[in-house]
Amino acid sequence: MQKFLANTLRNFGSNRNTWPRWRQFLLSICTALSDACRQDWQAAQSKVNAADTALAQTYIDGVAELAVSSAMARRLHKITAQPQCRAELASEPGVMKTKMPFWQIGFASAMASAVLGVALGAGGYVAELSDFDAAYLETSMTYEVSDWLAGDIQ
Amino acid sequence: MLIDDSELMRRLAGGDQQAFASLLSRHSKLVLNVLYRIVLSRDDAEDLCQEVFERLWRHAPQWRDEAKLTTWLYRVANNLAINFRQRVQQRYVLNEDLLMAECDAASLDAEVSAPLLGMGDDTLLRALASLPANYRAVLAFRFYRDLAVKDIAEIMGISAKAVESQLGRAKAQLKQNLGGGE
Repeated sequence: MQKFLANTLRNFGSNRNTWPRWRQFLLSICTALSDACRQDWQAAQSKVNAADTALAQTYIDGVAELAVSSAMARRLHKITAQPQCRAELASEPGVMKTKMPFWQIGFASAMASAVLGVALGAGGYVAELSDFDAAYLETSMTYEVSDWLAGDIQ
Repeated sequence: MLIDDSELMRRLAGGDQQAFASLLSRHSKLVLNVLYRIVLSRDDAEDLCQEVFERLWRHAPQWRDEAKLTTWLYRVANNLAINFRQRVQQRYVLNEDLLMAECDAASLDAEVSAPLLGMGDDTLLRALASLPANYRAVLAFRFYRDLAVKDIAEIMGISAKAVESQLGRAKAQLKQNLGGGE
Protein backbone atom coordinates (compact mmCIF):
# COMPACT_ATOMS: atom_id res chain seq x y z
CA MET A 1 0.00 0.00 0.00
CA GLN A 2 2.88 2.36 0.80
CA LYS A 3 4.40 1.58 -2.59
CA PHE A 4 1.07 2.36 -4.29
CA LEU A 5 0.85 5.68 -2.44
CA ALA A 6 4.45 6.61 -3.25
CA ASN A 7 3.93 5.80 -6.93
CA THR A 8 0.71 7.79 -7.06
CA LEU A 9 2.28 10.80 -5.37
CA ARG A 10 5.19 10.66 -7.77
CA ASN A 11 3.07 10.26 -10.91
CA PHE A 12 -0.01 12.37 -10.11
CA GLY A 13 1.19 14.87 -7.50
CA SER A 14 -0.19 15.62 -4.05
CA ASN A 15 -3.58 17.01 -5.07
CA ARG A 16 -5.93 14.04 -4.81
CA ASN A 17 -8.58 15.87 -6.85
CA THR A 18 -6.43 15.45 -9.94
CA TRP A 19 -6.02 11.71 -9.41
CA PRO A 20 -8.07 9.09 -11.26
CA ARG A 21 -11.15 8.17 -9.24
CA TRP A 22 -10.05 4.63 -8.48
CA ARG A 23 -6.78 5.95 -7.02
CA GLN A 24 -8.73 8.44 -4.87
CA PHE A 25 -10.84 5.54 -3.64
CA LEU A 26 -7.77 3.40 -2.89
CA LEU A 27 -6.16 6.32 -1.05
CA SER A 28 -9.05 6.47 1.40
CA ILE A 29 -8.74 2.71 1.97
CA CYS A 30 -4.96 2.88 2.38
CA THR A 31 -5.06 5.75 4.86
CA ALA A 32 -7.85 4.03 6.80
CA LEU A 33 -6.05 0.72 7.05
CA SER A 34 -2.38 1.63 7.28
CA ASP A 35 -0.77 4.04 9.75
CA ALA A 36 2.33 4.25 7.58
CA CYS A 37 0.23 5.30 4.58
CA ARG A 38 -1.62 7.88 6.67
CA GLN A 39 1.70 9.37 7.85
CA ASP A 40 3.07 9.43 4.29
CA TRP A 41 -0.08 11.13 3.06
CA GLN A 42 0.00 13.72 5.86
CA ALA A 43 3.67 14.39 5.19
CA ALA A 44 2.93 14.91 1.50
CA GLN A 45 0.09 17.29 2.35
CA SER A 46 2.27 19.24 4.79
CA LYS A 47 4.90 19.56 2.10
CA VAL A 48 2.31 20.80 -0.38
CA ASN A 49 0.83 23.23 2.14
CA ALA A 50 4.30 24.58 2.92
CA ALA A 51 5.03 24.96 -0.81
CA ASP A 52 1.65 26.65 -1.38
CA THR A 53 2.21 28.98 1.54
CA ALA A 54 5.62 29.89 0.16
CA LEU A 55 4.17 30.43 -3.31
CA ALA A 56 1.35 32.55 -1.90
CA GLN A 57 3.85 34.64 0.04
CA THR A 58 6.02 35.05 -3.08
CA TYR A 59 2.91 36.14 -4.96
CA ILE A 60 1.83 38.60 -2.27
CA ASP A 61 5.31 40.07 -1.92
CA GLY A 62 6.07 40.06 -5.63
CA VAL A 63 3.10 41.97 -6.99
CA ALA A 64 2.88 45.57 -5.91
CA GLU A 65 -0.25 46.71 -4.04
CA LEU A 66 -1.69 49.61 -6.04
CA ALA A 67 -3.30 52.60 -4.43
CA VAL A 68 -6.11 54.50 -6.13
CA SER A 69 -4.43 57.60 -7.47
CA SER A 70 -6.10 61.00 -7.15
CA ALA A 71 -6.60 61.09 -10.94
CA MET A 72 -8.25 57.68 -10.79
CA ALA A 73 -10.42 58.76 -7.87
CA ARG A 74 -11.58 61.79 -9.88
CA ARG A 75 -12.45 59.53 -12.82
CA LEU A 76 -14.44 57.25 -10.56
CA HIS A 77 -16.35 60.08 -8.93
CA LYS A 78 -17.29 61.48 -12.35
CA ILE A 79 -19.23 58.28 -13.05
CA THR A 80 -22.25 59.68 -11.23
CA ALA A 81 -22.66 62.23 -14.04
CA GLN A 82 -23.87 59.36 -16.22
CA PRO A 83 -27.56 58.39 -16.27
CA GLN A 84 -28.67 55.27 -14.45
CA CYS A 85 -30.63 52.48 -16.10
CA ARG A 86 -34.31 52.32 -15.31
CA ALA A 87 -35.32 49.55 -12.96
CA GLU A 88 -36.62 46.39 -14.59
CA LEU A 89 -40.04 46.54 -13.03
CA ALA A 90 -41.01 43.04 -14.07
CA SER A 91 -38.06 41.54 -12.22
CA GLU A 92 -38.79 43.26 -8.95
CA PRO A 93 -40.34 41.00 -6.35
CA GLY A 94 -42.92 43.62 -5.32
CA VAL A 95 -44.17 43.97 -8.86
CA MET A 96 -44.14 40.24 -9.45
CA LYS A 97 -46.69 39.87 -6.63
CA THR A 98 -49.16 42.12 -8.42
CA LYS A 99 -49.06 39.95 -11.52
CA MET A 100 -52.21 37.89 -12.00
CA PRO A 101 -51.85 34.10 -11.89
CA PHE A 102 -53.05 32.25 -14.98
CA TRP A 103 -56.21 30.85 -13.34
CA GLN A 104 -57.24 34.34 -12.29
CA ILE A 105 -56.66 35.51 -15.85
CA GLY A 106 -58.98 32.70 -17.07
CA PHE A 107 -61.66 33.64 -14.57
CA ALA A 108 -61.38 37.31 -15.41
CA SER A 109 -61.67 36.51 -19.12
CA ALA A 110 -64.81 34.43 -18.52
CA MET A 111 -66.41 37.20 -16.47
CA ALA A 112 -65.50 39.81 -19.06
CA SER A 113 -67.05 37.66 -21.80
CA ALA A 114 -70.26 37.28 -19.78
CA VAL A 115 -70.50 41.02 -19.12
CA LEU A 116 -69.86 41.77 -22.78
CA GLY A 117 -72.57 39.30 -23.81
CA VAL A 118 -75.11 40.85 -21.46
CA ALA A 119 -74.18 44.34 -22.59
CA LEU A 120 -74.52 43.48 -26.26
CA GLY A 121 -77.76 41.60 -25.71
CA ALA A 122 -79.32 44.34 -23.59
CA GLY A 123 -78.19 46.98 -26.03
CA GLY A 124 -79.80 45.14 -28.90
CA TYR A 125 -76.69 45.40 -31.05
CA VAL A 126 -76.78 41.82 -32.22
CA ALA A 127 -80.47 41.06 -33.00
CA GLU A 128 -82.16 44.33 -33.79
CA LEU A 129 -85.52 43.88 -35.47
CA SER A 130 -85.75 46.76 -37.88
CA ASP A 131 -88.95 45.39 -39.53
CA PHE A 132 -90.79 44.42 -36.39
CA ASP A 133 -94.26 44.82 -37.93
CA ALA A 134 -93.54 42.11 -40.46
CA ALA A 135 -92.76 39.63 -37.80
CA TYR A 136 -95.90 37.91 -36.72
CA LEU A 137 -97.04 34.49 -35.75
CA GLU A 138 -99.44 32.82 -38.11
CA THR A 139 -101.76 31.06 -35.67
CA SER A 140 -104.00 29.60 -38.35
CA MET A 141 -101.09 27.82 -39.93
CA THR A 142 -100.99 24.09 -39.67
CA TYR A 143 -97.83 22.11 -39.68
CA GLU A 144 -99.58 18.85 -40.49
CA VAL A 145 -97.83 17.48 -43.55
CA SER A 146 -100.68 15.20 -44.51
CA ASP A 147 -102.94 18.24 -44.89
CA TRP A 148 -100.51 19.78 -47.31
CA LEU A 149 -100.32 16.61 -49.29
CA ALA A 150 -104.08 16.31 -49.36
CA GLY A 151 -104.39 19.90 -50.54
CA ASP A 152 -101.85 19.24 -53.33
CA ILE A 153 -103.72 16.20 -54.52
CA GLN A 154 -106.95 18.10 -54.49
CA MET B 1 -22.09 53.89 12.20
CA LEU B 2 -20.97 51.65 9.35
CA ILE B 3 -23.65 51.21 6.72
CA ASP B 4 -23.60 47.81 5.06
CA ASP B 5 -23.30 47.30 1.30
CA SER B 6 -26.96 46.27 0.91
CA GLU B 7 -28.19 49.53 2.40
CA LEU B 8 -25.72 51.51 0.29
CA MET B 9 -26.97 49.69 -2.81
CA ARG B 10 -30.56 50.56 -1.93
CA ARG B 11 -29.54 54.21 -1.67
CA LEU B 12 -27.49 53.95 -4.86
CA ALA B 13 -30.56 52.64 -6.68
CA GLY B 14 -32.16 55.97 -5.90
CA GLY B 15 -29.19 57.84 -7.38
CA ASP B 16 -27.50 58.66 -4.05
CA GLN B 17 -24.03 59.95 -4.97
CA GLN B 18 -22.85 59.81 -1.37
CA ALA B 19 -23.63 56.09 -1.27
CA PHE B 20 -21.60 55.65 -4.46
CA ALA B 21 -18.68 57.53 -2.90
CA SER B 22 -18.85 55.24 0.13
CA LEU B 23 -18.84 52.14 -2.06
CA LEU B 24 -15.89 53.53 -4.02
CA SER B 25 -13.84 54.15 -0.90
CA ARG B 26 -14.69 50.68 0.36
CA HIS B 27 -14.14 48.59 -2.78
CA SER B 28 -12.28 50.47 -5.51
CA LYS B 29 -8.79 49.63 -4.27
CA LEU B 30 -9.53 45.91 -4.00
CA VAL B 31 -11.16 45.80 -7.43
CA LEU B 32 -8.25 47.74 -8.93
CA ASN B 33 -5.71 45.35 -7.43
CA VAL B 34 -7.58 42.23 -8.50
CA LEU B 35 -7.75 43.63 -12.03
CA TYR B 36 -4.08 44.55 -11.95
CA ARG B 37 -3.18 40.99 -11.01
CA ILE B 38 -5.11 39.67 -14.00
CA VAL B 39 -4.23 42.17 -16.73
CA LEU B 40 -0.81 43.06 -15.30
CA SER B 41 -0.95 46.67 -16.39
CA ARG B 42 -1.83 49.60 -14.16
CA ASP B 43 -3.36 51.69 -16.95
CA ASP B 44 -5.55 48.87 -18.19
CA ALA B 45 -6.52 47.90 -14.64
CA GLU B 46 -7.62 51.48 -14.02
CA ASP B 47 -9.68 51.56 -17.22
CA LEU B 48 -11.34 48.26 -16.33
CA CYS B 49 -11.90 49.36 -12.75
CA GLN B 50 -13.70 52.44 -14.04
CA GLU B 51 -15.83 50.21 -16.25
CA VAL B 52 -16.74 47.99 -13.29
CA PHE B 53 -17.95 50.96 -11.26
CA GLU B 54 -19.72 52.49 -14.25
CA ARG B 55 -21.71 49.28 -14.51
CA LEU B 56 -22.40 49.35 -10.80
CA TRP B 57 -23.73 52.92 -11.03
CA ARG B 58 -25.77 52.33 -14.19
CA HIS B 59 -27.33 49.07 -13.06
CA ALA B 60 -27.87 49.97 -9.41
CA PRO B 61 -31.65 50.47 -9.90
CA GLN B 62 -31.84 46.87 -11.15
CA TRP B 63 -29.85 45.53 -8.19
CA ARG B 64 -31.34 42.46 -6.58
CA ASP B 65 -30.06 41.74 -3.13
CA GLU B 66 -29.29 38.08 -3.80
CA ALA B 67 -25.48 38.02 -3.81
CA LYS B 68 -22.79 39.86 -1.92
CA LEU B 69 -21.72 43.08 -3.60
CA THR B 70 -18.06 42.00 -3.55
CA THR B 71 -18.99 38.81 -5.41
CA TRP B 72 -20.78 40.89 -8.07
CA LEU B 73 -17.86 43.34 -8.35
CA TYR B 74 -15.28 40.58 -8.65
CA ARG B 75 -17.44 38.71 -11.19
CA VAL B 76 -17.75 41.76 -13.42
CA ALA B 77 -14.05 42.56 -12.95
CA ASN B 78 -13.10 38.98 -13.81
CA ASN B 79 -15.26 38.90 -16.94
CA LEU B 80 -13.90 42.22 -18.15
CA ALA B 81 -10.32 41.22 -17.46
CA ILE B 82 -10.64 37.78 -19.09
CA ASN B 83 -12.02 39.44 -22.24
CA PHE B 84 -9.32 42.06 -22.06
CA ARG B 85 -6.88 40.49 -24.50
CA GLN B 86 -9.59 40.16 -27.11
CA ARG B 87 -10.51 43.80 -26.60
CA VAL B 88 -6.86 44.85 -26.83
CA GLN B 89 -6.54 42.96 -30.09
CA GLN B 90 -9.64 44.68 -31.47
CA ARG B 91 -8.24 48.02 -30.41
CA TYR B 92 -4.99 47.21 -32.21
CA VAL B 93 -6.82 46.22 -35.38
CA LEU B 94 -8.82 49.45 -35.33
CA ASN B 95 -5.62 51.45 -35.00
CA GLU B 96 -4.00 51.13 -38.42
CA ASP B 97 -0.69 52.46 -37.18
CA LEU B 98 -0.44 49.52 -34.84
CA LEU B 99 -1.83 46.91 -37.19
CA MET B 100 1.57 45.41 -37.77
CA ALA B 101 2.14 45.13 -34.05
CA GLU B 102 -1.07 43.10 -33.78
CA CYS B 103 0.35 40.60 -36.24
CA ASP B 104 3.29 40.05 -33.95
CA ALA B 105 2.05 38.10 -30.94
CA ALA B 106 5.34 38.60 -29.16
CA SER B 107 4.98 42.36 -29.29
CA LEU B 108 1.49 42.03 -27.78
CA ASP B 109 2.79 39.91 -24.93
CA ALA B 110 5.50 42.48 -24.36
CA GLU B 111 2.88 45.24 -24.34
CA VAL B 112 0.81 43.44 -21.74
CA SER B 113 3.71 42.68 -19.46
CA ALA B 114 5.95 45.71 -20.02
CA PRO B 115 4.24 48.16 -17.66
CA LEU B 116 4.76 45.93 -14.68
CA LEU B 117 8.36 45.03 -15.22
CA GLY B 118 9.52 48.09 -13.39
CA MET B 119 7.56 47.15 -10.28
CA GLY B 120 8.04 44.37 -7.76
CA ASP B 121 9.78 41.15 -8.61
CA ASP B 122 10.49 40.91 -12.35
CA THR B 123 10.82 37.14 -12.27
CA LEU B 124 7.44 36.66 -10.66
CA LEU B 125 5.76 39.16 -12.94
CA ARG B 126 7.25 37.56 -16.03
CA ALA B 127 6.12 34.17 -14.72
CA LEU B 128 2.60 35.54 -14.19
CA ALA B 129 2.55 37.17 -17.63
CA SER B 130 3.15 33.81 -19.26
CA LEU B 131 0.09 32.27 -17.55
CA PRO B 132 -3.35 32.32 -19.20
CA ALA B 133 -5.60 35.12 -17.89
CA ASN B 134 -7.98 32.71 -16.15
CA TYR B 135 -5.06 31.21 -14.21
CA ARG B 136 -3.96 34.69 -13.14
CA ALA B 137 -7.54 35.37 -12.06
CA VAL B 138 -7.81 32.24 -9.95
CA LEU B 139 -4.44 33.00 -8.33
CA ALA B 140 -5.50 36.56 -7.60
CA PHE B 141 -8.70 35.46 -5.89
CA ARG B 142 -6.97 32.68 -3.96
CA PHE B 143 -3.69 34.30 -2.97
CA TYR B 144 -4.46 38.02 -2.99
CA ARG B 145 -8.07 37.97 -1.75
CA ASP B 146 -7.74 34.68 0.14
CA LEU B 147 -11.18 33.55 -1.06
CA ALA B 148 -12.54 30.04 -0.58
CA VAL B 149 -12.79 27.79 -3.62
CA LYS B 150 -16.60 27.90 -3.60
CA ASP B 151 -16.55 31.72 -3.60
CA ILE B 152 -14.09 31.74 -6.49
CA ALA B 153 -16.36 29.28 -8.31
CA GLU B 154 -19.32 31.65 -7.86
CA ILE B 155 -17.29 34.60 -9.11
CA MET B 156 -15.88 32.79 -12.14
CA GLY B 157 -19.11 30.99 -12.97
CA ILE B 158 -17.52 27.54 -12.92
CA SER B 159 -17.72 24.55 -10.60
CA ALA B 160 -15.63 24.27 -7.44
CA LYS B 161 -13.98 21.23 -8.99
CA ALA B 162 -12.96 23.30 -12.02
CA VAL B 163 -11.56 26.00 -9.74
CA GLU B 164 -9.47 23.44 -7.86
CA SER B 165 -8.24 22.06 -11.13
CA GLN B 166 -7.34 25.49 -12.51
CA LEU B 167 -5.73 26.48 -9.24
CA GLY B 168 -3.62 23.32 -9.22
CA ARG B 169 -2.48 23.88 -12.80
CA ALA B 170 -1.86 27.59 -12.22
CA LYS B 171 0.29 26.91 -9.17
CA ALA B 172 2.22 24.16 -10.93
CA GLN B 173 2.83 26.34 -13.98
CA LEU B 174 3.80 29.31 -11.86
CA LYS B 175 6.27 27.20 -9.88
CA GLN B 176 7.68 25.88 -13.11
CA ASN B 177 7.98 29.39 -14.56
CA LEU B 178 9.70 30.53 -11.39
CA GLY B 179 12.18 27.70 -11.82
CA GLY B 180 10.94 25.66 -8.90
CA GLY B 181 9.48 22.85 -10.99
CA GLU B 182 6.90 20.49 -9.55
